[in-house]
Amino acid sequence: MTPEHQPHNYHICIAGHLDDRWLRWFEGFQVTCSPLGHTEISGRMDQAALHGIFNRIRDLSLEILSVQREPNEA
Amino acid sequence: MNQTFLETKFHIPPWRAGSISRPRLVQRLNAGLEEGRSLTLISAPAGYGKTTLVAEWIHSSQNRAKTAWLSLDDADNDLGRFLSYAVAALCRKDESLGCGAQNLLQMTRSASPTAVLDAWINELAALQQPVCLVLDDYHVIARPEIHEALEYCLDHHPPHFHWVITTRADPPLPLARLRARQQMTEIRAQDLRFTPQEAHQFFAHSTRSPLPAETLQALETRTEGWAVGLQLAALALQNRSDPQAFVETFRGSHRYVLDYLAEEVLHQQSEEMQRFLIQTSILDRLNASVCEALTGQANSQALLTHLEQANLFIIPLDDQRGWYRYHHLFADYLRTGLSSAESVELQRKAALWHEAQGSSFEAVRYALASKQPDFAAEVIQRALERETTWSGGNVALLSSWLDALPAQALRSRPQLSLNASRILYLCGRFDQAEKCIAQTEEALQALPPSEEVEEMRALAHIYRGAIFAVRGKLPQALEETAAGQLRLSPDHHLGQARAFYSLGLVHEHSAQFETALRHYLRASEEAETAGVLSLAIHARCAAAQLEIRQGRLGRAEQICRTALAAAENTPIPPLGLAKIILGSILLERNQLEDAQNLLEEGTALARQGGLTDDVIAGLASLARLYTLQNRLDEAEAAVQSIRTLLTVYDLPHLARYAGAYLARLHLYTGRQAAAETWAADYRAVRAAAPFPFGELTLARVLLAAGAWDDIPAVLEPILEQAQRSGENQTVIEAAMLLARCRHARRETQAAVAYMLQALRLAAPEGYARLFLDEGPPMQELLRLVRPQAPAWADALLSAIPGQPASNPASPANALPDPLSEQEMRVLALIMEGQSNQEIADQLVISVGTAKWHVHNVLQKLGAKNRPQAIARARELGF
Repeated sequence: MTPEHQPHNYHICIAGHLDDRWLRWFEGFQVTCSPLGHTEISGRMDQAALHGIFNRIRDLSLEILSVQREPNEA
Repeated sequence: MNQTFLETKFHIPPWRAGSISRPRLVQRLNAGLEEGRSLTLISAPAGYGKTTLVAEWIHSSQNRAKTAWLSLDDADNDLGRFLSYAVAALCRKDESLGCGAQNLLQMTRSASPTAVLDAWINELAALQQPVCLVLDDYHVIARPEIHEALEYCLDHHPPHFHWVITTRADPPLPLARLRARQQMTEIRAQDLRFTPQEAHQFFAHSTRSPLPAETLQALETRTEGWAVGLQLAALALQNRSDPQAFVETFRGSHRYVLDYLAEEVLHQQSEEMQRFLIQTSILDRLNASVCEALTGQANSQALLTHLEQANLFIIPLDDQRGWYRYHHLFADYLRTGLSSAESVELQRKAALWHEAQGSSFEAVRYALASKQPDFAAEVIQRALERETTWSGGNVALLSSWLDALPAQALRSRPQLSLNASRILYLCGRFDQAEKCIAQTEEALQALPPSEEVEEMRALAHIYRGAIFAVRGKLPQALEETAAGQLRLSPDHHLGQARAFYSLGLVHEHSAQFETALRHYLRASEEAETAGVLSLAIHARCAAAQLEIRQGRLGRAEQICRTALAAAENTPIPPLGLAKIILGSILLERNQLEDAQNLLEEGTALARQGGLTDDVIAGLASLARLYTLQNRLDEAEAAVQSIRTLLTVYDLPHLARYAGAYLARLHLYTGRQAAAETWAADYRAVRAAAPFPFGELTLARVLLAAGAWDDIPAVLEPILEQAQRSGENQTVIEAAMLLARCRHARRETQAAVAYMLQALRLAAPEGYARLFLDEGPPMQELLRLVRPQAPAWADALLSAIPGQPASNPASPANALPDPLSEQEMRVLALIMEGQSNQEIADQLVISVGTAKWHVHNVLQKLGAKNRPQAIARARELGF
């Protein structure tokens, strides 16, 4: 398996609505509140960036519900 | 690395008697300790009360372990620093805990993980009482080598030692294995959740009037027993007339609850206090003075005290209530109240405050965090103007500052760019250093001529010259340095000193020793006038080493003593080398006690300053000294430290020298095979990279192997060349070794001639060990030359204890059970490093008989092994 260096579009779904005050923590990413009461953080990132986001999520004590990756177009 | 520790990192957080006690968890922590488990892992997201729980346990009467604390932060992502702090945390608790490892760390400064860990684990294995080390916030650690080191410690678990780790994320340790073997106590979010009963108790403690049962129930449900949520709720409820109504207003995720409650708590504070909290939230550590600088509040101390009394997420970091920090979650929350512009302004103020306190490193950290390149560049520039910034020796850190600045920031600042070139030069990044110099010159062209501009131009030449000098480009080095010196005012003493130092280097490289010497001494005088003691001492040491190369121990001694006197006992790290050189001179002169003091002091000083090259020089001489004193374990430890240093730091210029030096020590202690291994390696590279010390060592290996016929081809060219260049130290040693070789070949006349040649140079300077270390063959040689050089020969012969020159009684008689004649011969062969088989061959006896003799010799000398026997024999003057 070749390691994946390319960035992908990721969607991270976290529980609850995130107050706007925290948006600066996710600068450069799209943060949207879903009608279901969740918050989705989306953006194009490589693995290092993804782990950086995970750390921020951890440090904010947010609960991760799901992580999804869009396949890159050929 | 800066070896001063941040004491606040060792501070055990206080546990208030009023806080809620959690006996069920404290009991589990205690049980883990009592059952001799190696680890307690407390793994849960922020705000679950991990740290508070451990604090309660430490302060509880149940815990009978001696417990040390280490708060980790991002900067600990360096194995050397991590280990230094971990070892120091225990030493702070009790001086007997792991101080051997601390010494080793100070020696190596950066870690050879296994050497340090083994030393540490061995010391901890001797513990009789339980000892515990808490690593708080382990999730900040990302370096795999730190995890590996910790795993190594857990694998080699000393019975009375216990780790406690608090973390927001599971560390990559073999947790499943530890769980299965019941070596770990694990406390997770689920365990840390407050039970309804605990929550009940908590609110009973912390609210003024008792809460109705349904309110408590609702609170427990809303916060899900999350400690920080409960705590905030209690604070928010303090001034509520209708708690039940308030509790109904919030529900949702943890984050939401936290934000809601934090806002509530914040708004209950006075406006003054709100502003204070938000503005100081950018600080990692806060005290009244820095808070005042940021907020302009003259009553900052009172505000901090109030925050602590109100239990507002502020944690004291020492017992004097000087330094505090905010709970991370709370600080994060507070910071969201700042606009970008405010944040920048506060970081600037924090940088300036730290700068005014003389904390340049912190100042730069805040300045870089302000993300204002111009401001950061100015703070860095000012930090670089302070001599203490340089004296820490942490050029890696300094260069990381430069890397954090945009190229533009340097381009427009010739002074900074010039200093940057010096940092890069010290890091060995010569290409980049040259680029910076060129940049400086370019920026200077745009400026109107002034004294300052002229000075920078001159320094640019001088720094470029220094780079040429280390690259061995001698004509260019001379040209640049001369050009710089011409332009530089004679009153710019530091610049002149650096120039003279480069000139010294250049001339030393081209074997013009007298000129080199003059320049080094001149560099030293200029540096002294400039008040830069470190360079003054550094230059004198270079001069002293050059004198030694020329075999002039007396003058070298004088220079070292001048350096020591000039420093007037200011123990700055560069002075270490002066002591080491002086100690080595006294060692050569056989004044072992004085030598030992100087060498030990000097090595310790060099260690403090992280001057690796100097530490290695000190350790090398100490290894030799300890060997002479038959303190073989200490000698071995010093040798091991040298190896560690050479592995940890990439030091090719020292590695080849150290390799040869260690081979000599092997020969001296009879480990001929190890010396042969070195010789084989050396032979492989010898044609391409011969060097006199290596050649002399090779000759010694040949001598020990009895390969006498091969020796002249090695030594004669060396001797001739050294005579031409005036490197008399090499002349003395080569001539002495040739004398031994000729003597062994029964060419007495030639041997005596070489001995006289050596003694003529060596005796007036007081060389002694060079001859004495040769053992019995040297005694014979000295007696041979005695008729022609009685004073010199007698001086050396009388240095052998128990053997006055006038009455050369056999030292064998000094033993309670004297050696027989055959045993004397066997001892001589042992001292030459011969194996049992070789001894048998030489004496024409069977191997069994040879072994028997060797056994007897060892026994009579009271030695356990050959190295000990050799050292003992030398002590007795065989």
